[in-house]
Amino acid sequence: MGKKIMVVDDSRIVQLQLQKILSGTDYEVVACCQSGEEALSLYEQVKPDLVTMDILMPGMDGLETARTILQKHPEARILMVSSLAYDDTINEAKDIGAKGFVYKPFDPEQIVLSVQKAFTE
Amino acid sequence: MNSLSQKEIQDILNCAMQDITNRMTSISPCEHDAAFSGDVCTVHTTFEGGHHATLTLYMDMALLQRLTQRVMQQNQVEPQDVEDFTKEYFNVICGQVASRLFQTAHIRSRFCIPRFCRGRYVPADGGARRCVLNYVSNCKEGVQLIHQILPISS
Repeated sequence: MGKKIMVVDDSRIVQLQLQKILSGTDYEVVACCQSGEEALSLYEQVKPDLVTMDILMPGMDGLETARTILQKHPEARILMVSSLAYDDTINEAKDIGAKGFVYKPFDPEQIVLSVQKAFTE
Repeated sequence: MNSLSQKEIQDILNCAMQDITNRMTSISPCEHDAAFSGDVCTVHTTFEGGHHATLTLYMDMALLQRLTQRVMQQNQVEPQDVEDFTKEYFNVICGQVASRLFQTAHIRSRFCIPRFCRGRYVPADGGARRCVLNYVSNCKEGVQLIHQILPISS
């Protein structure tokens, strides 16, 4: 079984895209959810090897969710995947401890490379 | 603070619209007066922070259906698929607009979760400066992007 990936994104289209991109690789999407609150609870159940995290979501945003997960699980690997990609959010993601930042719209190659990089760092 | 000129805002919107549509769907919209069919939908949001404005996108349903089919790589798409695609497409355009606002004028902004509705929804007109961009697809379907600066509430 491949490394376990959890996708946090309020867009079902993005969830489907990421599942499709990562199928047939060394990674497997084992859980998807649409909000930060759901992600906190699902993380405890699934214990994924990596989380892809959108920023703009209803309720708790992705940066706050990533911060909360990393405070409790400093070993967590979180890759931000968002359209809100400018210096402030990218720097904040780095400060929190995210393993990388992929801008939407993404290419399949970008996703796979960024996931690979997150595991090698 | 909205310190950008109308022309600068127009350029930011146009670049975001062209770039994202092309990258997400491989379709290049052409700047042209939009002629809509009777079946349109609206997706809209509000920018907050350093840029206080509404952004509204009207599109022919036939075009959205086609774009959804292309992105999902399947011929059979449900109305919910079209709605989900439209919100994500607009979300990415808004993200690009926010990024360009920061790159161009160091304006830090966020936007609310996009809202979708069938038909033509007109946001409350409280704004002074309005910018309207019209496009047509390669199949002559209409697209209209409307940006409206909102007064800063006290």
